[in-house]
Amino acid sequence: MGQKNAVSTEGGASPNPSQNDQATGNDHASRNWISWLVDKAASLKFSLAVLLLLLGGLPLSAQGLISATALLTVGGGLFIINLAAALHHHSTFHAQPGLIVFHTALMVLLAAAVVSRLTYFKGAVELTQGEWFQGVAQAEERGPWHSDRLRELRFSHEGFTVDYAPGLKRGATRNQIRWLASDGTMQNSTIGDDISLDMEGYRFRTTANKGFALVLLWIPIDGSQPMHASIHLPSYPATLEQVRHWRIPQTGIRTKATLLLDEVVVDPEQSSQFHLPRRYRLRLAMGDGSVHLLKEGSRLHFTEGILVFEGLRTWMGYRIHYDPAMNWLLASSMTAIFGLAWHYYRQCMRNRWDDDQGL
Amino acid sequence: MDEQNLLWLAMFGYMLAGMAAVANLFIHRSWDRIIMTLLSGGVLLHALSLGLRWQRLGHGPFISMFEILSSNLWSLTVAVTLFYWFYPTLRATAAVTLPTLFILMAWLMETSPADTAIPPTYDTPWLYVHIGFGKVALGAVLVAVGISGIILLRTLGQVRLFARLPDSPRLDTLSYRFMALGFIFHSLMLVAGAIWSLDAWGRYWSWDPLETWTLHTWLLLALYLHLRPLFHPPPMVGAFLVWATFIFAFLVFFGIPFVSQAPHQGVV
Repeated sequence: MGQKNAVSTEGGASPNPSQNDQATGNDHASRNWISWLVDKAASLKFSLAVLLLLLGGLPLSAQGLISATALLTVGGGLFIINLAAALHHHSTFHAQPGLIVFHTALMVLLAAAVVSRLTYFKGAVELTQGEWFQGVAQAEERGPWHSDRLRELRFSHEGFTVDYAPGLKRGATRNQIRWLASDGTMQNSTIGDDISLDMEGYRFRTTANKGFALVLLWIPIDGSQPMHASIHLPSYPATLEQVRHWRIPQTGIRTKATLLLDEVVVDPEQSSQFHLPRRYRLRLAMGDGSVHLLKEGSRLHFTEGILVFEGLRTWMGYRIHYDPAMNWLLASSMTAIFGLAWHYYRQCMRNRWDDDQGL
Repeated sequence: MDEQNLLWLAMFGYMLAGMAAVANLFIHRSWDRIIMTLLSGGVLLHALSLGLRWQRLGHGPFISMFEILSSNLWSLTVAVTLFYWFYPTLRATAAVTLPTLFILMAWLMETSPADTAIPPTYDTPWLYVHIGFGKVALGAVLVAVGISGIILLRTLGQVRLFARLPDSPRLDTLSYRFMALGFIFHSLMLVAGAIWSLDAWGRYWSWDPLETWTLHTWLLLALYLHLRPLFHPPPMVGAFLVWATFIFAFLVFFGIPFVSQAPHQGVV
């Protein structure tokens, strides 16, 4: 003790005993304060408050009134504090390994959920047959910390088939694609339904949103560069009327493009398959009231240039999903469930329900 | 006999069993054997009806409301029957659980049994795992509801009818254990559903109405499981909470998929 005091004095602490007492008192007060904080953070009442916060916040988040990311980050963060404090503070946990496993896994699960919300990416893109994905989604939603590697990814839609049962009930989708692997090689795959294209953690999936695309070439009369255009008609066969209003690029020419199918593509009466029709025409209704019927290869002359109908292709709508925390979420949730099941099993084996007064 | 007649016959058996279970409380004769026979026979006939439909359509009973109600009626009756078999001292709970299932039967009779086709995204074993866990979860909660029903009826003055049953604190303990079992299987259902969803639609969670409200049910179960060790509520309060959770879970399981524009069903 004497040595400790001597060291303390030599170390520059106040030689005044009353000041030492005050310092020790402050230290005690600070420790008491921390202990009080940990005690509160570890309490089941705090768990209950966080559960109520999440219960109350979820409907608001579902309605779009508050951000799901904010709710999960705040609620999840508070829960992690609660669980960590409870594991540290409550000695009851030490005799209940199942509960330790459950609460530790729950902490990891919540941390993974927070990471997931901060880094996720959800998007959608439509590609015409033969077109390459250029790394940009047409609709997207992302976490604030998402590092955008989507720009580096490339794949092309090379056509698809979809089976239909009578009554237009959609069956299997098979979409042929080409994609650029990370080693620079070109790969061919077929995706669809539960088979996705996985690149750098991004999953590309086909959707029921697909149909016919009108491919046109515009040759300006002034000699400038010809332009290709692709008009994605409404999803087929969900929308049987294949009409789209369109303006020829860099001109004021507005048209109403209608695809006229001269054969049955998907027969609602029997099993069939979505395919590109062989017999079809394009009906173009112009703003001046004139109507033109075009076949594949037909040309339409305007004062500003020539419009060439190159033919019909398909287009496919893809959903893009990215979540680096996914495997952690699965592993931690399964571990948490295992821990809980273990805990309750031990409880039930230890005490018969009709012998004791509670768990 | 066709699948529809088998279903009616099974439901007739369930109804007789339910009425006998209620009558058993008032008439001091043991109809346990009759009730067990009616329940087992009903479950077998119902399983046959579901099996024939499954074989004919090529998919399990989980597409239309008729199929969902029918398969849940079957799984919940299995839960009641197993409890009836393994807990002979608590057979009086059937007087609560079986009449509760009458709601499903009445609803089932109102729905169309029209044939359905399976969407391609439903063609995965994870769907069966997801649904199986969900059925076990709801079955466990229904058993807890039966036990809690006895506690509530005692609170309402019907003590004499259940005099031979264990006291309410013990029933409360057993009810809590079944709720814990329900919670574990509800959690498994969520995880299996997330895996299916990832396979089917490319995301494991999308906050659609069914997912959001199922998460509410999970949080409500977690809340109940925390409330008991925290506040040690009297059995009557615990029983009330079990019923409240069950009603909420029932509305989520059977209500949300058919009132919302974009539940699981909307994204097939």
